[in-house]
Amino acid sequence: MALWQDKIALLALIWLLVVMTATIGVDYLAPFNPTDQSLRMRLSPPMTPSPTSSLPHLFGTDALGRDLLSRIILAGQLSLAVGFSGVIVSGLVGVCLGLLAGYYGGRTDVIIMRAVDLQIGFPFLMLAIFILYALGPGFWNVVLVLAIVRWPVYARVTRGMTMSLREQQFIESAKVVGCGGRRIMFRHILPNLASPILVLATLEIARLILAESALSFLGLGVQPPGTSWGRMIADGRQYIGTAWWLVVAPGFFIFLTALSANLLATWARAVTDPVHRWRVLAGKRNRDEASNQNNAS
Amino acid sequence: MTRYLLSRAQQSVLVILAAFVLVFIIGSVIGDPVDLMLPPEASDAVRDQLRRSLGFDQPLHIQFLNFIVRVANGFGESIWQSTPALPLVISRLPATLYLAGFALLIAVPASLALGGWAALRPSSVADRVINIFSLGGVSIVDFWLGLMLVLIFSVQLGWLPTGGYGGGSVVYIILPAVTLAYRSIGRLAQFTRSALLDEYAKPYVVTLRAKGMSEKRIFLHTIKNAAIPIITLSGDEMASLINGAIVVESVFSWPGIGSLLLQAIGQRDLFLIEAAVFVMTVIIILVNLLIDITYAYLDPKVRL
Repeated sequence: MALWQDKIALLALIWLLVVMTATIGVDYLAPFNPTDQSLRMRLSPPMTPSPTSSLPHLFGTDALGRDLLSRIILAGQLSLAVGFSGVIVSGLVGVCLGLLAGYYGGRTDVIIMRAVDLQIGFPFLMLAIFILYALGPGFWNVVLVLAIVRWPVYARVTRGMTMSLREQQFIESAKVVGCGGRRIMFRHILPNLASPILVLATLEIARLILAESALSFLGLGVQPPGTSWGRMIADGRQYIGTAWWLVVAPGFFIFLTALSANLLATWARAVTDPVHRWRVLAGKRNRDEASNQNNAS
Repeated sequence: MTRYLLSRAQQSVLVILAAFVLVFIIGSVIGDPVDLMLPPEASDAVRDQLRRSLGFDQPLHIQFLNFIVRVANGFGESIWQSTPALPLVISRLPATLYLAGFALLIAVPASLALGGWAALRPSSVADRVINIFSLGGVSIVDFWLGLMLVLIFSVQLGWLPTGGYGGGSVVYIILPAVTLAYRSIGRLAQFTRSALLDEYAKPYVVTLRAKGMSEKRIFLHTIKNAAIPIITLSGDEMASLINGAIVVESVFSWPGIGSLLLQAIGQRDLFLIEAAVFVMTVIIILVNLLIDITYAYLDPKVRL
């Protein structure tokens, strides 16, 4: 099941690459300057020809006459940046604590896992909203809040896998050779956890992009003049009866991006997790056999 | 069994206490309560006066004692509504539970049907379509989906109202409940599919086939075994539906705790926010407790 054989996963990867390239190179790749206003062109529907350029306004324009597609590409910068930074921060914290808990066990494990259980019992969006309200909005505060609410997910997964690896022979050997705890955790255990953690991180990017847009939609996330996809939907909401494209287009970008990340993670899990792959194949085989039998009889 | 229930209940009490302390820490330590209550343009004199009158100039341990007293008196007076905050939040609770419960009633049958269908035909076109449909559930922004449904069914077709409670009539709850349910449908359908596939890979299915049992009856066997984890997960979904209701309620101006919380944030009504967060957290903790108890009844292995 290589990537080019799974066409949907390939499309997902292409979409993610396109969005990332476009948002990073927004100055060169956006069809219009995302901040150029034009009162004469305001709230133009999609595909309206532009008076100043040979390119049409593909997705129309917003209430200030700015090109919607260019705005979306600009907003993608913040949405993706929050997603990636949030995943990196929460992943680092969660993986390190999960390694400690799983490797040392005992009291370390009890304390860390108690914190994890406590936090998983909490409604995560609620917690994020409240902390963000107390901290005040802003890019790094959003990242911080998302890291605070999402680290337990990584800690749980890492701990479970570390505990089963800890008992294996190669760790025993490493201990006999005289490796210290830190070396064993980061050089011997961590590399074995890389693929499940990467799969989890991919899923989490999608989740954080959605969470960021919810926070921005509620007015707690990114503040103007900065903008993100969630913020654009919130801003466009008041025009929903007259200029539907202001709401439809940015939401569609969030949807496609999150869907792509989820598809890619599903594909990566199927490829890297032999148990999962075997299960799908086994299910299919049984089914095929059954239908063959039915046909025969 | 009793021992398990006791330890589980004790754990829930601990989490509720932690939530209590956390509400204090976030409201009074991470954020400056005076800043959180006054608009940014308020003068220093007004700030000082409010700080002194509410006791936020005291050392932290005194503030914490004040907080306990305030919570005991219904989380203090809501600035916006001039009534104690807690009863105000409680009065909004039924609407939120009604919405989340209705969404669960949509989500469970829908995802059982989709997940079952996909599991019976793994790797078929139907399986792939259902897979993408369920991944869509966890990839879509719920408030956006809500706005899209409003755009189609209310603005364009005029079939359903754009929002509001309407005395709880079914016409009003359909759009918010479907919006809220889609994410759960996605998660549950995928889970049902993989739980069923797990069952189909087990040796007893081979035995059943060998003795010539029809596929229909084999399905009845497997679905029974797959039911326990599916029921647990459906319970988990109830917790996340209540959580998700915060945003969806505000899209449909549904008069639940979520839209109250957002109005309170808009009014900088700290006491009301604290009460809403605390009540929501307690409800979700209780729902989780209820799920675990049900699970213990269904699956004796847990009790050990």
